[in-house]
Amino acid sequence: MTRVGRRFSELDGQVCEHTMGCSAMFAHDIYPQHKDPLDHPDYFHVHNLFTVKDLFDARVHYGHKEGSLNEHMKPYLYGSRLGHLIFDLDITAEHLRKALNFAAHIAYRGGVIIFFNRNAQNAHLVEKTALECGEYAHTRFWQGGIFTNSTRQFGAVTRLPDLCIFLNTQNNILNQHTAVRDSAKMLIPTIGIVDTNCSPNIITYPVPGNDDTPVAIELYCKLFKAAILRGKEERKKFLQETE
Amino acid sequence: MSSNYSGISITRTSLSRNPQVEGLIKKGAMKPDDRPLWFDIYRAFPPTDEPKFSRPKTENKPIKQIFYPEDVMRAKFHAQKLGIGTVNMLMSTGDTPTKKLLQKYDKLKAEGLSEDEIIQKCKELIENEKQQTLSKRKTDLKLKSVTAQILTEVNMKNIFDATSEKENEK
Repeated sequence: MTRVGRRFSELDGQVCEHTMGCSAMFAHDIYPQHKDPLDHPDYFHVHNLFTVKDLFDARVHYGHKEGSLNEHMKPYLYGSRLGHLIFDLDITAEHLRKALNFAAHIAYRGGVIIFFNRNAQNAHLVEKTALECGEYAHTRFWQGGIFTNSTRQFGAVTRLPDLCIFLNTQNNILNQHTAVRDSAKMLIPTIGIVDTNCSPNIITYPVPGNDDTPVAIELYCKLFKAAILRGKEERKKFLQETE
Repeated sequence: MSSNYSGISITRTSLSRNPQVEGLIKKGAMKPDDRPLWFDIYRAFPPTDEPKFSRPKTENKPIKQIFYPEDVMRAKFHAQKLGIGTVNMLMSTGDTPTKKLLQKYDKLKAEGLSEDEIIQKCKELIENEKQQTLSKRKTDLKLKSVTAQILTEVNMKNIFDATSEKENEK
């Protein structure tokens, strides 16, 4: 497995000495007028992309029925209304902001992002979103080995994505998407919308919320698109200034 | 696949560290310059919970049941088959039938009526409203249709009487 991240030092043709725990190899250290975005708790201001009311209006709080609950989703729940599980949107908002921030930072560093979704109803929307923010989408059957055996499958050393965003993490109601497992194997961070019947365990940034309703998916798509575009815009600005 | 394989990290010292990548760098299997693009971001903004296949079991707390004080009244209305109607979630047209009933209940309660009386009164009110909306819809439909508009202008009694029509024109 060779996955070499593109870095600003490469872009500037500079090579810096690296010490663990110090990010001296990034251009903002070479150009001190640029502050390190990682020092800022919310450099891309993703917190103002949505409010809890927006989540509520998009029906993000609706989970599945109690019987299908995955035990690891319990801490994200607010309660059960006559058998239907309800998410605590304050917790969801916190996780979603973290995920959006991470996505924006990946976009800022020029990472490749891929959207996943296995719900046919929302497939077109997800593909359109990916297209609009200049990234990739995979909404069809996942042929095993695309990540884990990429060199063989594509006949050459392949650049794998730097972030996988799952708008639903299940293939169907029973099985988890194989790419969730494969991303973990290949050390690719994942963001995933996890409903009450999904497992959040091996997803790096799980976002508890409704992953079935088209309105909710529309909201997630809108938010991730906005975050990625903010990251890209900042990157463009940065590259123009340092040229 | 072993059942206990882990996600991004296998063992850890602190949440903000990614032991797999850090281990590779420490032992020289991966050059620091070759570290993944997300590595520094992950360190700066670690996830709330560690991504791991075998996460510790959650506390065995019972799930909170969500109930509201007005649910008692809601149940009583529903027992009388009141406030049960379809709700269009694509186009929200104001309050749900149950909510409307509860608003009526609050109003009547303030007037000092007993619960049974209120339910009875609500029943009547709803019946009246239903009749009104139905008749309104009928008249609306009548006025809107093209046939209805033509028929209002035609003298139905002497429909074949050409002379009367001419007189009308004059």
